[in-house]
Amino acid sequence: MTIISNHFDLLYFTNCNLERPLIHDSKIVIPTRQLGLLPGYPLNPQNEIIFLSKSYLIFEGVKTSVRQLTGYVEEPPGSNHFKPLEENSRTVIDDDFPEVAKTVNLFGLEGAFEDPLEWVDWEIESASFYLMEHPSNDWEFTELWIDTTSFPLKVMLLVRDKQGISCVYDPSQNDRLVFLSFTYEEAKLWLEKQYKLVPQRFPKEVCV
Amino acid sequence: MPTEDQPTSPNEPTETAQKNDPFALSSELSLNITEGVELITNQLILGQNVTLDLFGGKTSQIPEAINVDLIAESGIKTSIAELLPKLPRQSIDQIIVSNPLAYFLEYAAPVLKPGGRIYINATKRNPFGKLPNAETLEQLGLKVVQENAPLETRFTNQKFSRETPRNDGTLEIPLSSLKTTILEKIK
Repeated sequence: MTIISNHFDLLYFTNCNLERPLIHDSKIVIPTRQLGLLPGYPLNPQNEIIFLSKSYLIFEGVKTSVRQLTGYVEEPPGSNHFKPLEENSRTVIDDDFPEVAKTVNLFGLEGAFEDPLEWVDWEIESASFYLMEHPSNDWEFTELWIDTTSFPLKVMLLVRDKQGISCVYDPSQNDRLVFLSFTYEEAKLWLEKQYKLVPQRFPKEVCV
Repeated sequence: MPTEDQPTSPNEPTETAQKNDPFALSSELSLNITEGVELITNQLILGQNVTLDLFGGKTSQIPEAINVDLIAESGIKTSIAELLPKLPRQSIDQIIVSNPLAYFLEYAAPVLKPGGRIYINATKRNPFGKLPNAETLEQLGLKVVQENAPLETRFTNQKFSRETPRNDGTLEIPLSSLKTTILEKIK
């Protein structure tokens, strides 16, 4: 997985599609598709904008998060043309973040949520920002975690890469990312609240 | 970027007919870069005011403006970086920029007439809509008339659209997310 810190000013969000954020402690992770990278961005060797098919925006040490959401109506019906309902826009404030001792910066982004279809203008104050490319094939091992209190058993996949970045995916939601950490320990602690580790680890060299 | 499907008139001159008469080139057609330069040059020779709509989408929604966009179906189908350096310096009266998807200011400033204005309509978060520092603006001979003000009323009937997340339709960007920045050529 490639992680780039900073360079926020070289990101283009207007055509970006956002998925529901993962908010945990003072961290917000936003899965995105079609994020634009301007020339000069470390992952863009070209002299024109390029788009990442899938990536994650990671804000750590979050102090505030305010989303302005505007819904849509298909007009005329069946046309696949959607007009914003500006009079019905609403503000969502995410709070309950732990106290942040570090200096924070303001990050502004925009884009569209798919379900329900909404335009979002989003301001996040956080101590740091990272962009992570969609997890590539450089994973080290995968673990299965199960919730034995439900029937049928609920399963989670923990995938750790060679740098220690650990992602938890939910197979019941089309392998949606549900937790992301820069350390294996944090992901393990998060899972242990509800799940038990299947005592068999699947190293990449065995699986591939 | 703005998009608006407009029916084409069956009475429009054909491209072939227009090529026989260079002065008949029309911004209603999709022109290549050579034809585009010719169209603008002809308008200048005739003493007409020229307004460019940069990143105008398939069809410009600005009356009388010449659309310049890589996806133009009417106007000049080319990039700003290729077209503008081919135009006479200080020849264009007005430039409108519609939610840009590339850097344009270094190309736009030299072709603008003194007193001419650049109107940048862009979403709040569009990095291509942000102004360079004061030193760069001075080098380009531009002064800021207004920065990130609410969308000018003359543009509020425009539609600024993008694809839906499922790529099966179009989504209009709320006008409240769009801002207008105005620059004026001072030298």
